[in-house]
Amino acid sequence: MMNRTLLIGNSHVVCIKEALDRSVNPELGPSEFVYCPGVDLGEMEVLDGRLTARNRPALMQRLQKVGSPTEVDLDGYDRFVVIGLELSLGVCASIFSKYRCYRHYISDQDFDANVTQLVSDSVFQMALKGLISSTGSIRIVDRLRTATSKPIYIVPQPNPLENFKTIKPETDRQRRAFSKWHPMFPASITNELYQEFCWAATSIAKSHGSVFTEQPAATLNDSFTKSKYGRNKLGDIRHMNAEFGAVCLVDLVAGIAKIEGNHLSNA
Amino acid sequence: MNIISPYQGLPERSYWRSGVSRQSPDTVSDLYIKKFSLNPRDKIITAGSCFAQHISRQLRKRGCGIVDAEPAPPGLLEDQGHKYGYHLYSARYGNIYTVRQLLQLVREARGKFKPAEWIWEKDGRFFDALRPSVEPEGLRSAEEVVAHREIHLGRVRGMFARADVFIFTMGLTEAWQHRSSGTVFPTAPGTIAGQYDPVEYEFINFDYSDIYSDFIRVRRILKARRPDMRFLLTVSPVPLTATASGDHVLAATLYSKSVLRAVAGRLAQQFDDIDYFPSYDLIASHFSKAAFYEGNLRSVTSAGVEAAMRVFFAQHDMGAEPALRSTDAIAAVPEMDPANSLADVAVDDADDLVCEDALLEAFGR
Repeated sequence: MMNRTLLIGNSHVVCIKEALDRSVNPELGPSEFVYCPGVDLGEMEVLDGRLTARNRPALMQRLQKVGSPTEVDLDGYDRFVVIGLELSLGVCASIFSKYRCYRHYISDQDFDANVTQLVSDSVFQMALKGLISSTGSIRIVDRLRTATSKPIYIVPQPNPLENFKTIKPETDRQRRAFSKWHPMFPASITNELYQEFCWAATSIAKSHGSVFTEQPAATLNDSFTKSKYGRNKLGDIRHMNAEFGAVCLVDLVAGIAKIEGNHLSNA
Repeated sequence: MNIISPYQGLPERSYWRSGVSRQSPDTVSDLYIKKFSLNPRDKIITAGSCFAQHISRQLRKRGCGIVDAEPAPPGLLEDQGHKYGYHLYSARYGNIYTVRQLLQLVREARGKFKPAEWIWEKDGRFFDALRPSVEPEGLRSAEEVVAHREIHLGRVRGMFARADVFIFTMGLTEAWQHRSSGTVFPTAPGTIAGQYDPVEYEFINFDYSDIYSDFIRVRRILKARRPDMRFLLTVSPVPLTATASGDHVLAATLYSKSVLRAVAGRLAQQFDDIDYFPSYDLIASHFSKAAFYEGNLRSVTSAGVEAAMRVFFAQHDMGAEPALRSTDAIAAVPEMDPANSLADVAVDDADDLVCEDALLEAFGR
């Protein structure tokens, strides 16, 4: 039985690639990657049964620059794994930095009526689902679904490292990120919002014909990623190492086996 | 000495035959002559009955500076936002049908008015009875409704404090009020939520003098803070869904609209800073032979809105036709900096170089 996996994603594929290179979890079988930094991959199209950048010269150039295939035949794969591409707890942070539900309003001493708006639970959940739906990840899923009925799994971008809460932001970019995430730092809020995010992502993924796989619980501490999984690049609180990729692979393979049955080792 | 009729030598728009009989409501050009100009940099706020939503939307499409004091969160689709009162007017106050309701809001935002019995309950959910439509499923508790209203009033206060032009559409003369306090509600108790108790609530049909004096008060309060604020009044051409006046609904509608039209006309005659835009006259009069209404003779067609706005923009040149502008050009002036959809989310991923290096390293290039 042919049993090949195509992994599609942005820089968050790196930790999984590194884990695969170390043969941490060979059960996944032959795997190939389409990858591109940032969010541009969401522009890829599916034409004639092929995932392609042929009509997107700028994207084509970027893919070539990092050595990614620019076109793949979807028939050559048994499943697809879409990684990162904006689908992250960050969508919650984007809403929560300016919009709170009443349950957070009463517990948040920092609430500033000139900056923050109160929204109902219904509106918050709709906004959350709306942002998830517009991620590159879901866009790619939608395109794949026009040409294949094979399983599609979604792996979110990892939650930021836990030391994000203690580092002093120095650059404008860090300050923007800190300001966006800061209201979510209390553990009770992060945990609650992370649950809401997972619930919404699961629901949206399902409605788009795919399966959302949560970040492995073992990698989390109060919904932030444990520091030991960081890539140790100065100030990078988003990208994880091969050890993290290995834990994700174990979870991913287990999830796939649960859904597809235990034929993964047939590769 | 020749006695010349005062009607001689008037422009064509002054005569019925040339101004109406020989004109088409789709092309009539001089129905409205502006009293003052709108500056593209003006901060415009909108409120009123549901027809005001059309005006607000059209102005936004033209890139006018419509203030949005309570923007929707990122991720909310336009239709979803509308269902929850976002992007309809300059704040989430829902439909303001009567001038008394507007006066209440203006005074409440300044801390000069405390509404009574304004939290209504239905099936365990709680509603702000002064704007019940903005949360169609209600909220979890009365305390939550109070918190939402406090934040809302802060935004309304800020909105009025910054506005250059206030476009208000008068909708109804009929309302329901709390007897002892005089608090007026946009819907009858029991319609969306709450319970109708004739001992507590009563029907009121505001007359010319009520409406006129209410608007005078609104103007005085707003201009105390913004002396240069200008007002553009319209009357909604949408008939009453129902009347509690005891009259036939057609007669009640004509009475209601006639009173509103008279007040708007009087205010525009009296004050240099108040203009009246005759969208009602164009759509509801026999000039248009009801062609601008749907089959129910109540809902205004999109052609009716377009005809009215064509007349408006013939006087207020606010830029290109909506069809020529991309949706990106739809402008609103947020009173706050909204979190900007995924552009904001993607900030974390902006550092492509780092990502690129990692990919190159991992994939061995």
